[in-house]
Amino acid sequence: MSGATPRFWATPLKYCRWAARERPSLFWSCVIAGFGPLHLIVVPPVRRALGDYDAPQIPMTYPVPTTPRKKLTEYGDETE
Amino acid sequence: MYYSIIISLIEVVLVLVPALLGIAYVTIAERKTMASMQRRLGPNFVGYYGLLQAFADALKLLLKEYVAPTQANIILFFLGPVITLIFSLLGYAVIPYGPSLAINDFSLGIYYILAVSSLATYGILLAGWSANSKYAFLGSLRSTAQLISYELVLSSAILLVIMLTGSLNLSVNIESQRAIWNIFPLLPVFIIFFIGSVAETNRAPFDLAEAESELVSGFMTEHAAVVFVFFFLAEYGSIVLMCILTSILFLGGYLSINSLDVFNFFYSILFNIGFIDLNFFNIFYYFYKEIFVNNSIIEGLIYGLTIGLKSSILIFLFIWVRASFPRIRFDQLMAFCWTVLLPLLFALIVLLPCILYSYNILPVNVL
Repeated sequence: MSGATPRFWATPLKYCRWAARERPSLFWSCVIAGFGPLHLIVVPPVRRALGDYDAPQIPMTYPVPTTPRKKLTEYGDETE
Repeated sequence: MYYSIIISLIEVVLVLVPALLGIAYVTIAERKTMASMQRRLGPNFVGYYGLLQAFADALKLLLKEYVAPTQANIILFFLGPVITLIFSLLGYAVIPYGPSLAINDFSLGIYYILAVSSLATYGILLAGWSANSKYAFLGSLRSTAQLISYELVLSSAILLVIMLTGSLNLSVNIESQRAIWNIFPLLPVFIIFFIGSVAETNRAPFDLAEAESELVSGFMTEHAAVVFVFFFLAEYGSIVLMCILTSILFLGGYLSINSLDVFNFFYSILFNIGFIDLNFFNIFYYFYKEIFVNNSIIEGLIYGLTIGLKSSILIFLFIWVRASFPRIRFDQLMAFCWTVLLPLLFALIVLLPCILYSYNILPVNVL
């Protein structure tokens, strides 16, 4: 391409065309990296709208019992 | 106490001797393969089909006279190759050849391999500096700059694998690939990792450190006899290690295709068209269980052969690349690392966790 190097803030589209030809690795790296935050914004609401809710986390401990606890009065269990 | 020490020593010998033999045969494999690609015979005189050539070379080098340049720093001159070889071989300590079949299968195995391969750089630097030769010094500077640059590529690529598997342990990395090998979701990373490992091992087309036309033989110009053997073994040892590491991180390590799954696939087709009946399945399954499941020796052999086969394919790729591509310039080498590979990897480092989080598929131990 002829002419001076285009400046991003002055002519963004022209700069992108220039960068895609002259600095392809940096340009496409920015594009690929840009898809990451885009995923974060777009994908979770769409998933939820389609009914694909997050799976509950895998339990890492034993579940705490919900039944009423037995009140202990002495050290040992009732053996009699 | 002595008993456990002796057992540990035997374990180390059991790993190191086959590793060194394998390294010796990689040199012959390289010479024969490259000869075949260049339409010549290659070594074919010592032993049947040239199979003993490596031992003849080693014997010749061991019997040669030591030569040290005048005003060389003798201690560092001989210490450099030793350091390089030791750190190259230390990496084999954490390689799992089967389920929990490693000398030490500890939790930070990947860090350990990266650290040890970085330390091998010091041997090259010391050997090149201490030789009192311009060629050796320039070679060691080039090699050090190259290794430090491409280590970033390797560690960034490994970071992506860790994001997917959630562990720094090599065995956990392998086991998490039972569903699908990492090469399928991470194909670009595999390609970048392979390029990085070719550069990390100073192999053509990135062998600027020992470019014959410019630097005679690079950092090992003044080294001969046994110390040259050390450099030689260290170089090929790190090639084999990198290939094993690649096969563990991307190709599922010792995991092979489950033969029962393959059988089930074909059996279900043949059963549905009425070609075979249930008795055939029962007889096959009985023999399958007796041979492969209840026999731990055959099971272990299959694991070992699997990781060996995958590594051999990668070693062949190394040789193929060497035979195919011309050497690039040193500034191109550096620019390729810093302006092509690293930006791509950083982009993937941003992209991958975003994908994993937004589809809720982060590995369990990261949550």
